[in-house]
Amino acid sequence: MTLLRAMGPLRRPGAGVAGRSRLSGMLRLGLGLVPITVLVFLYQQLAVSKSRPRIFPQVGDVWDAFYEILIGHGELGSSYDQIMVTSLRIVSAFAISFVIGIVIGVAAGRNKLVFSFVENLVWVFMAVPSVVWVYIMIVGLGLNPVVPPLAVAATVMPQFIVLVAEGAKSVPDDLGEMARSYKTSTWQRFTELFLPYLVPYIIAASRTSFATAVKIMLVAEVIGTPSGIGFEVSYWDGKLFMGPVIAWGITMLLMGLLVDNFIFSPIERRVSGWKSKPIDAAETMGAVI
Amino acid sequence: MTVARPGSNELQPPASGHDIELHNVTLRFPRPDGKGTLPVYENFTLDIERGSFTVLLGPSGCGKSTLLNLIDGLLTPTSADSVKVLGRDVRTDPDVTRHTAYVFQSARLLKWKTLRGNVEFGLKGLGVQPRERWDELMKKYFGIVGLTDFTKYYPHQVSGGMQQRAAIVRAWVNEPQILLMDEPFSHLDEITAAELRRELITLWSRDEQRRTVVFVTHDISEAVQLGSRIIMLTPRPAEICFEQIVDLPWPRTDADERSFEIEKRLRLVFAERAGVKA
Repeated sequence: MTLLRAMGPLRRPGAGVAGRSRLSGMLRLGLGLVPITVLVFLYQQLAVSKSRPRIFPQVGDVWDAFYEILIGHGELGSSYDQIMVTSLRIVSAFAISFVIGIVIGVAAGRNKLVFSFVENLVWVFMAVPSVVWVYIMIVGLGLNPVVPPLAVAATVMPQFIVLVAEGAKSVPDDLGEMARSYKTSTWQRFTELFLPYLVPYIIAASRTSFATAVKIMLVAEVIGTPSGIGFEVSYWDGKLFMGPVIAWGITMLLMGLLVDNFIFSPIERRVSGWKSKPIDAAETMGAVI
Repeated sequence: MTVARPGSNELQPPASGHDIELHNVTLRFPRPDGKGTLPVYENFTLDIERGSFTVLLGPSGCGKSTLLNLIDGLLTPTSADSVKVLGRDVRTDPDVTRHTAYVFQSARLLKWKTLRGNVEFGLKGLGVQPRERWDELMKKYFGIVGLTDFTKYYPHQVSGGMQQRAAIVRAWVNEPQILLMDEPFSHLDEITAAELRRELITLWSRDEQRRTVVFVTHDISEAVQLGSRIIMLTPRPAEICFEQIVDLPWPRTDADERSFEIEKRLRLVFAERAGVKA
């Protein structure tokens, strides 16, 4: 769901008509839950039939493991410490790709020379799997706590750059010409024309990047660190206990959902509030003009 | 930054009486295929006197809009003896183009700003001082074009005609001496366009201080309805092939026999001289 939302500002048909959209929202939620429920049910049947609770934990076992995480228990220390460590790594990886992504993305989108310069580099970075980055960096930096955030940033940054560059490239020339005709300063053009135009692209890039960062961080931690959620996963995997592994996966999923719904969504609603204004004026005035 | 407002002493008409003076302007664009250049203007000369409503009429692609961009300083000619606005050359004195305002073919509003926000964008850019004047100016011009109740709307909430009205407010609100209009009504349906033409003429003719309008169009009847002087241009490189002074009162209608006669004559000349060169 996080990823789907991150794909961009998809407008639901009928959005804007308050009653209808609320109804279809509930309907959508219901429809969305059906496949997940079916999947959980099928898995439960499989787990029961196998009757090997460590490898195929039943839904109840997974819930128990998840409950342990919720109340902060853990064989490797408080689960909240692990969540904190991983969150911090995700946030720093995201921050690195956010800042560098915007700077390089804008430069590449506005300047053909910069674009040609970074184009191939971006493709190379895109093609290298995050796991490879982890190993490369471990060789270079040792088992250093900065390795996972750096590896994740290296993996996530290219898509950030590409999205922002696309946005920067598509700022319409005619608006720039209009702004120059009104003798606007470079600063006014940047803050009132360029940036507002770019914001939806930056938000879309942020959402995809964050969702990817959450996924990849787990891999990076499994390989490269003695702490964090990834370490928990590899620990329980080593002991052949799948319940906690799944429970930690669910925890990460929830973290991603929380951030998307409570941070990115409100920001997007705020900056693109003008889009949701109803189109009533044109309709009522259509007859007059 | 202090900017002289129209009406202040600084804006006395230049000695020549011409608000715009283009002398021997040559402009060549590089060809898209990179081989040589494309001449848009070769030694083009045109004077536009203060207070005139000059219509530039010509076939599509002959460089009419380019001429407005030259006047507004958005483009620099390849060579020219002078590109003067209010007696000052825009190449050496770009600040003088603060007294020109541009209405484009499409409204070119910022969709994330309200109509009011868009007008303020222009006021801020032009550095209109003091800021307290903004409200009074906006109230006046939004009122004139009938948008008073819509200033808080976003462009996508209003019709194309209203968007173009807002663009006209953005251009007029600073009360510039020179108004450059590039086929401003060509994207609108005929009824809306006719109404806006009427409003424009009313707005222009009732101003105590006659502003200079340079209006680009390829529509002959629009030219006759609006212009006090009509200048016909040939395809590239553009030359003036015909000139017509229209000394008729506004508002003009097609039903008026004299303007109909002028339109007929222009159509003949247009077909004959402004056609595509072999």
